[in-house]
Amino acid sequence: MSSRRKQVRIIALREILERGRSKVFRISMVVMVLLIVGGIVAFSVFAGQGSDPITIGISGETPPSLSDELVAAGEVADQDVEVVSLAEADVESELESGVVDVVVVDGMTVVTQGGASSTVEFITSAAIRAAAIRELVATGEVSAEDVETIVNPVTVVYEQVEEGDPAEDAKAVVSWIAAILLFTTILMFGQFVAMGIVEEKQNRVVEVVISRVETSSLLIGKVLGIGALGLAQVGVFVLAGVVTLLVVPTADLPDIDITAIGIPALLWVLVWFILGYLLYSFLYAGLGATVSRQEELQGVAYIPAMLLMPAYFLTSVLVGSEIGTLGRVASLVPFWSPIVMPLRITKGDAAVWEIVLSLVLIIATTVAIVALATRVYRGAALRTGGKVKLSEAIRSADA
Amino acid sequence: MLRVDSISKRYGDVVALDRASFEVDKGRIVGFLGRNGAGKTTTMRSIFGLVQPDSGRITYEGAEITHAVRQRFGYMPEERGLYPKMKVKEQLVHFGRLSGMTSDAAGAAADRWLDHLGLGDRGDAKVEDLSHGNQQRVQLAVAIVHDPEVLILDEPFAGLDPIGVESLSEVLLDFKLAGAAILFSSHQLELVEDLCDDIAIVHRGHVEVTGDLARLKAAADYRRLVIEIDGSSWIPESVAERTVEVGNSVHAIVPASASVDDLLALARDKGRITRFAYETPGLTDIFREAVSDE
Repeated sequence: MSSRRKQVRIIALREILERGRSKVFRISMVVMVLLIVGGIVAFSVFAGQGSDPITIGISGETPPSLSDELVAAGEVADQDVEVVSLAEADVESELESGVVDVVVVDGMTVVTQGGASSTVEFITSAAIRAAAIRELVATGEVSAEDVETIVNPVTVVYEQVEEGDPAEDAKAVVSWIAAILLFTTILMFGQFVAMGIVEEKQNRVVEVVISRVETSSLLIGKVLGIGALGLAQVGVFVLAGVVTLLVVPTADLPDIDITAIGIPALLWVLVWFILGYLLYSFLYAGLGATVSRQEELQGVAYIPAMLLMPAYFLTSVLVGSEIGTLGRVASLVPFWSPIVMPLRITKGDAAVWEIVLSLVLIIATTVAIVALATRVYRGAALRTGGKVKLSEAIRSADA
Repeated sequence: MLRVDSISKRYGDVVALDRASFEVDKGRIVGFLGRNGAGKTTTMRSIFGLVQPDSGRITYEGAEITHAVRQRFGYMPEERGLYPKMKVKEQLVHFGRLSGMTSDAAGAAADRWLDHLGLGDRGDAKVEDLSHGNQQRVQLAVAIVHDPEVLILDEPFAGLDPIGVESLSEVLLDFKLAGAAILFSSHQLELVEDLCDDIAIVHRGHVEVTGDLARLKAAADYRRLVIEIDGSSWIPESVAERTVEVGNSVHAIVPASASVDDLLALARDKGRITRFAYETPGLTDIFREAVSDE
């Protein structure tokens, strides 16, 4: 291994070790995993239950099937129903104390405390009618066939012009999640790179480091180290999410079949993730080198965020619609392609030449940014008084 | 041999270096002197490529200094430059490895230097928890952990207590014996006089005086003369160019051409000689002369 690659590796490892061991990192890691797992569990608990069960009292002369019909009508309305029998004298007090939500008296009168919701109205009216019809059949006043003819005179058939594609939903969801992950991680870890650069500048260790290491090696090592840590972190988050989804019963979540997207598309997402991170991190590194103190960093850190923002908004629109000309162009622009291109690939919309062109463009841009960031860094790293103008930093790096 | 060959550097209207030239030979310690802002730090940074001179060149063993060559150099900047939250020993190992050492070799060297510098029990401490003086020792250890052939130190003695000065001097002399080329800047002239074989005095970005210290002294066209007759100072007016007061005694500055025999005879005529000193000028004289704007 060349000494340069070895140096890059040593620098990257130091970033991983020092950052990974820090209390802030470990605590934020645990908190995030807890939030993800807790969020999914909480969601599944809510989604699984629908809403709170309602308690329906029955009182007086009641058709024998009413209780079953109430529960059945509840199922149709996606509402758990509990049925309790009440003595007529207790109806008012039980309603007032909230033990029951509604009472059906004598199989026909619906008594509530302050009005019934549309769900309650639907459940009670449907159940009362059904129970009454059963009474008629049971007493032999009408035949079961007559009932069937009256209640279901025709069978309603539902047809779709186009067969729904479950994979389409999965693709949309995955590319949307990928876009959010890309956006937040690129900006977050890019920010870390900039902070790391300023930190070394502020405590002047940079002078010691670049007296024995080429400036570009330091930048590359730093970006790779922080990036590897970031990737591992995102990996842990995704893993925590997937495992929780598998373990926790989530019957009511929309069925998303991840495998429908295919491993190649997921790998593309990963590739773009890495490329996007590299491009933006080197941009952050160059910008970070122009300031002297952490407090001044906010003055330049908004620039990459502003650059990436349009791609994020565009993607949020494109997820649910056709990729238009705008989307096609945006997927080639280096600063936007990391977010837009994965969406096109998962949608199966991108041609091979478009993917290749887009890759060439982003890699070329990244190489140019590395060169520029290195120049800025050389020109500005040893200047600790205030903010250094970009143009000045580039000029003073001239040999 | 490290050779700084006529390097110049401007920052806007400010001339930081103006055709500065000097050499640092193997096995020699060079004292780098100059007033504040004279260009010492800029020169040292140029040696490490931290500053790109506008013109001139710096060579080591006759060739441009590449990154591979610079791995055999050690640098101690004037201000502390360490990772504050990193442990002392890990920091030394890190920098040792960056200079091409294996982990094992760097670990062994780190232990050895920490012991040597009296920090044997602080290897696991974070740098930010160390005292100022101990941080400076760590900074020195970072500069020498990889056993460099060329050692460049910017104000290494500043802020050290007398014991610290002594132990740093020993380290420098050890490196000198091992054949390293050493350059350090300092304002403590007595220290430089004790320790250095050569000096380079920079003034307004230009090296005014450089070379073997003993020879520079001998080459001066004047000598310091102290004569006391019956316990009180006496100045031989006929030969003295001027006088300087040093502590309680008065030194006469006489031309180097003046014969010591004649001076002794003059003094003997005056009375009983209680003190007679005839010396080459001190480093202070050379320095003062080099940086005067007259």
